[in-house]
Amino acid sequence: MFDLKHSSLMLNMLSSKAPTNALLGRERLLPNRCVASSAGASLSRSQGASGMRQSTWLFPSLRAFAIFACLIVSTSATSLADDPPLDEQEQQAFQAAADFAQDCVVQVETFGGQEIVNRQFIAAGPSTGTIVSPDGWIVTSIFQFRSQPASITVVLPDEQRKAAKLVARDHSRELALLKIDVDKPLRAAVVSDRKAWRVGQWAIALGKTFDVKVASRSVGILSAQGRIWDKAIQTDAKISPQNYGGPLIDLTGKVMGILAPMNPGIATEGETEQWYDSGVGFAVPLVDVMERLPRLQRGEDIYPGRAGFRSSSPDEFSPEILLSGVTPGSPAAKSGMRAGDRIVGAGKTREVLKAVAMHSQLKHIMGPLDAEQSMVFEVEREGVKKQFDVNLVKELPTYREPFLGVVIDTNSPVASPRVLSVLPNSPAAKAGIEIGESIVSVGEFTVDEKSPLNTRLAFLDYREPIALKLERDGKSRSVEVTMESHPEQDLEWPIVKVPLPENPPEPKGAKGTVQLPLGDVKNKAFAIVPSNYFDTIPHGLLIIFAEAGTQDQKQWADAWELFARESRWIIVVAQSADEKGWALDEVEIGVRLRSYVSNNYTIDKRRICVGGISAGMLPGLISGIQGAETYRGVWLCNAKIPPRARVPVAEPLKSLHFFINGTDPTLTTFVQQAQKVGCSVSFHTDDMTAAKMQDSQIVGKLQRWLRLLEAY
Amino acid sequence: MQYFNTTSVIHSTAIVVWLFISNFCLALADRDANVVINNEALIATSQEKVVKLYGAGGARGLESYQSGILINNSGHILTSWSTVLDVAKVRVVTFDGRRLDATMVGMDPQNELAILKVDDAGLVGFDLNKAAQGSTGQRVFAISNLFGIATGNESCSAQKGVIMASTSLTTRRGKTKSLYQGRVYVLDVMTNNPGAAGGALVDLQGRLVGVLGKEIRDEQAGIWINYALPMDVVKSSVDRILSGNTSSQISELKPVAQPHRIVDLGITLIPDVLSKTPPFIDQVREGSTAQRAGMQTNDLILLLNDQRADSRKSLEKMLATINRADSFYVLVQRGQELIRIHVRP
Repeated sequence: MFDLKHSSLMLNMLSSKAPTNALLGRERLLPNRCVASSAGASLSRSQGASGMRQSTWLFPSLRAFAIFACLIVSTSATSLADDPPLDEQEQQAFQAAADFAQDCVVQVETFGGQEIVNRQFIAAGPSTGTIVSPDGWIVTSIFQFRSQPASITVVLPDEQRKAAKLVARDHSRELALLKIDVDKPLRAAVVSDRKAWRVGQWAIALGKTFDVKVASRSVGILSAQGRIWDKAIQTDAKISPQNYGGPLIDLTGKVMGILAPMNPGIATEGETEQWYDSGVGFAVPLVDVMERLPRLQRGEDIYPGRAGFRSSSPDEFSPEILLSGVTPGSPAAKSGMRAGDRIVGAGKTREVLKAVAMHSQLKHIMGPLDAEQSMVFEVEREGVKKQFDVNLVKELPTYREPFLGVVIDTNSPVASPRVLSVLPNSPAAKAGIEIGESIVSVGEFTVDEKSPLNTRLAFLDYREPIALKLERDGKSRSVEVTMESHPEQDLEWPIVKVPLPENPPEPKGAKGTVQLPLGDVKNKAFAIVPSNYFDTIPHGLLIIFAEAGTQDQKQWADAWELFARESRWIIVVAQSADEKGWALDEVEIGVRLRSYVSNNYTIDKRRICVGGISAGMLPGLISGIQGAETYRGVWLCNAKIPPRARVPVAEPLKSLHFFINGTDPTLTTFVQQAQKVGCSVSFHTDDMTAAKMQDSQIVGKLQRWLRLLEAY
Repeated sequence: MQYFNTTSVIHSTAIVVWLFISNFCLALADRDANVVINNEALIATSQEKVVKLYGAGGARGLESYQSGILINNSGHILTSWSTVLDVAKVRVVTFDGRRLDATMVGMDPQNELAILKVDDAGLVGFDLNKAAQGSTGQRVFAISNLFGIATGNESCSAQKGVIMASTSLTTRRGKTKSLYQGRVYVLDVMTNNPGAAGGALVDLQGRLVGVLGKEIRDEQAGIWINYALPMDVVKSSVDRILSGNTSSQISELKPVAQPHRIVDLGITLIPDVLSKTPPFIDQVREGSTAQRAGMQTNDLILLLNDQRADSRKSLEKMLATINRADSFYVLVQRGQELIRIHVRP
């Protein structure tokens, strides 16, 4: 019955003054009606005028003919002029489409609930939803439910108010499904055919926040398809909380997508709405929503799907996707994918497998896929193509960095790292690994230039026993070792001496307490470079955002010189620009210092750490969180954690280790959160100031914790 | 001869065809030019009817300029009532660069409109009798001196857009600080910028359909509202001001002396512990007004006389505006059911 109504309305629209062309979009309308650019039009006019003058002058006998021709033309021109102007025809088409579609748009209102989520006001008042089935299923935007409302109601176009149940959420697309009880069938959205869409065609955004009967309308065009890793289409119609959850319709009144607050970048919760008024708005294609409707109707929440592999490419546009490993226990690991595989194809099924060469192409294929959906990867392994079925998951199993308990001689070749020290009671000690032995392979993988020991160990599940192949003086043996997760407790073990080559060259960088250049900022920074520093020995690097105000360099040197010399570290202390405290944009100082020190001294990439004391704690924490791939350790002194801080989930080669000391009550939750996502946390309930550094027990504990980072 | 004839026929045919084509192009080109000239012309003539106003302000983030509309041929300028007008003489600069001093004729605080007058013959304004009503989805042009870009003999800026909705300022999301709470056209284009208030909203025929409102930011949702006052509202203000009949009364719901109170109704709500405690009924006293009306324990009060009661506090505030002797309606949610209850004292 409903379809009949729909098609008859379409017919009405087609037969009305609004031309068929106008319904199909502007880009078609223009060429058909010859309303080209004004430059082109004026050119043809001048040709026409001069042409006529010539003809009368050259062929007077043909004048009658010419007049006849002119008559024909003017008749046709008159008939054209009878049509309403283009603007008005378009306006009629907009109105017809919106009038047709607005009965599937409802007002959604929430009652009660928090006013502030993540320090941001959640606007009170109604928003919009789109009816997707006549029996009362309504899709809307998730953004208004962050406040955990006590009640949700839906106001239908006939002004009936209904209590609604929040049935499920799609976290991948920022949408929610509501259900209301209905006494008569509702008008549901008609799905627009994606194949007919073309960028540049008209698109109208409808909302019901202002009026439950007449939908608000904002007119724009389809700006792009396949946005947000193929999850959304883009429009320049005005998209804001006033129409989130409403439909984006085409000129026939069919629904292309559901307007949603999406953000192409990384967004923390609550930040997404900031995009309104920018000329950029997003809608989730309704076809994608309908495909997921049965799942949502069963009350299953939808999450983005994750496979759990890690590519060695430095960025998403690098020309190959070579796996440095797969996260232990992840779907990728379970399917049989492994380090060294090169991903060459991916798709939801084997039938739609597409070739991929860059990580960004892979993201386009994986973007629309949800947790619990399966997909196929095609990889190249040792010249042979293999396909793997992977069942995507919502969360990868918690990863913890494995710990073997050996220190490696940095003078030994990368492909056969030689053990310089075995930590007492460590897994390596228990397995009987001896000083002087070289580790040449881990499980089935050899250690080599491309995949050094660090990478080989990082992708292992620390709970699973693994065979290590050891070599000494041309003889090899194999040991089985069960590793541990990176230790959190305070460990003590003898000082390790790294052998120096004979007559090492003098380093180019200065030693002792060195002032570091920072460029055009007011901040000052100095480094403590140990007196035994040589370029042949990689050193750890700790960058500290100090307490506010000028720092006593001697105090710092007294507390850290011995440690720097014995354990091969460079300590950098940055001072705030303002005596009173640190500003957030000074986080960038850390990046400058890191790059300066790395360019002038030999730095061990596994031992780059950042720290912050009191007022400097926040820039320290932010540096650590933002640079989880660069920094391995984060020291937070006299820490007080802001409520929005979230530690990134630990992944192989990207897991943070924390040393936290302080007495603030916010610390307990933070420590729990960090441990939950797989980070190691060494937590001490003591405060400390730089002035009392030497007497403080904390510095001793901190230095032992730093030393431990050198061990594999 | 024969040869010549053929050529001549070929020639004449070719010329006819060529003429036909070139004339067709000419016709189309003219038509195109008409469309463009129409819009250009209507914007150009409208621009001549919008003036730049300079007055007080410039401090604390307040602008010292805005826009105004000539509403007849006798020098009356309609504009937004704002602090810009807090000077003895407002400076008016017309499209052709004339600088004139305006005097205040009157204002209508309820609709936040004011009328100024300049003594200058020859200024042509909009014909308010030909003004039109706007409709949702209609295409419009907004003409104003937004950001004060135009100076001297420069014309005000034109923007195109669509009337997104016709609504009351109170029903949109969040809260705004605006005296005017009546019906507005919400626009889908960023019109409401500094200096735009008092600008003209015209339709595709060049008729005035509205007056651009002030910059309003929804303080909670952080959304800028782009709106214009509809012509019926504007006309009523113009009539009142020009007839010297302005009331400065602003109708607003005010607390009454003897209001309804939650206790007197006989209900206890759950304790007010959150910043927005939902008004759930904890208990209903035997024989009370509430019980007679049909309220029950665990009912969640959603609306009071069709106004949102999204917290216990807002419910109390709204009750305080209803006289104890008057009856009122509440909408409660009981389980998944919504029930409208008439409460009679």
